[in-house]
Amino acid sequence: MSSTVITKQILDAFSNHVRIAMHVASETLSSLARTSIGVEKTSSEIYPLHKFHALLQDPEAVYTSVIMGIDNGEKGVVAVSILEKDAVRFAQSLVSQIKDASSQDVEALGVSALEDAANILVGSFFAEISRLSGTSFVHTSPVTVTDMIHASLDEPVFDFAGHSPDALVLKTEIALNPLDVHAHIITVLEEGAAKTLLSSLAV
Amino acid sequence: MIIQTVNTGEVRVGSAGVVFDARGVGSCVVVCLYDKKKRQGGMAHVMLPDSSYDTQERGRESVDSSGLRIIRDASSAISFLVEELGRLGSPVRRLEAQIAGGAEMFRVWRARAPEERMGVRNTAAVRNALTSYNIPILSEEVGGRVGRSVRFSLDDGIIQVSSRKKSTM
Repeated sequence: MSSTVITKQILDAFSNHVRIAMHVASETLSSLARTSIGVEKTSSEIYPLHKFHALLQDPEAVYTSVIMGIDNGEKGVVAVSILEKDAVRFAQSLVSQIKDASSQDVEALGVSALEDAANILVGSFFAEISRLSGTSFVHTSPVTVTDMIHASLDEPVFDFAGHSPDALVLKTEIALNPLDVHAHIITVLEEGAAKTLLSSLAV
Repeated sequence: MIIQTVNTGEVRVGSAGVVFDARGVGSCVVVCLYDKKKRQGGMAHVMLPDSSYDTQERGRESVDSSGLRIIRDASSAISFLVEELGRLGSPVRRLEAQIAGGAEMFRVWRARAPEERMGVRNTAAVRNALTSYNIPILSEEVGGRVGRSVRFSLDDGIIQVSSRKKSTM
């Protein structure tokens, strides 16, 4: 990793590909939610693993995070994190067509709908990244947790300290309209996968 | 009162008038050591169970750009706290410990057996390191599937653990 200098050019290139991926995802999400969902903005930042805490403005803020391994967790992890109150609103919009669901059902269906939405976002994201880098990025089934965001993410993130000395943490923020839902996509890539990706962006 | 944040992998020592603050602790374990007589102590925000698990090529310890010491594993962090507090006049026989964290936030993560989970391993490593110094654990709130924040006052050695649903200790 140290041989790859992360320049503004690389970050801009990465953000551009994220933007393309998110527009593809928004079309699929619109179909799922039966309403037009657009991506208002995307921005990306890169942090070294030991500065993971710096990307979380408020480590105690309660988020619903849908977390997936990348290639069974060997290459990395990815989390889609949405503020709890926004996640509830987003889930309600996704399941609103189910009129006779009890509140408990809505909760269960809501988690399922959020996981579906996260699958769509992450699937589009990695399809674009795979196309760009020529390396396959396949994600595993999602797990979902609602708690303080730092607490939710520290195990998946720090797991990498054991087998990837210089894992990269990528943070992408997207805003979904008209729902006004902001989501963070936090991707941790092990050294080899990150090198491949950054090298392709540096060209 | 001075509030000092202790982020993941960080270790701090201080005396009365200081409150250490570790926020959003999941599988990590926060270790608080206190010497009642001198009213001084330290906090370690332990990220990894042992140094062999840590593949950082730069070694077990490093210092960040602000001069803050980064020690990521349980044994190294507790050894540092004991040595540093000893240097400040608190022998190990007077130190008492309180610990919090070591949660398992997910029912399923990477299909690991419970004893292989990071939170469980971090907690066991902290207990072993404290036992090796004969430091008693006065109170603990560990495990479960809940994130925690920990505040440790060096005025009186009291720690407050808060979570999304409750406040304890």
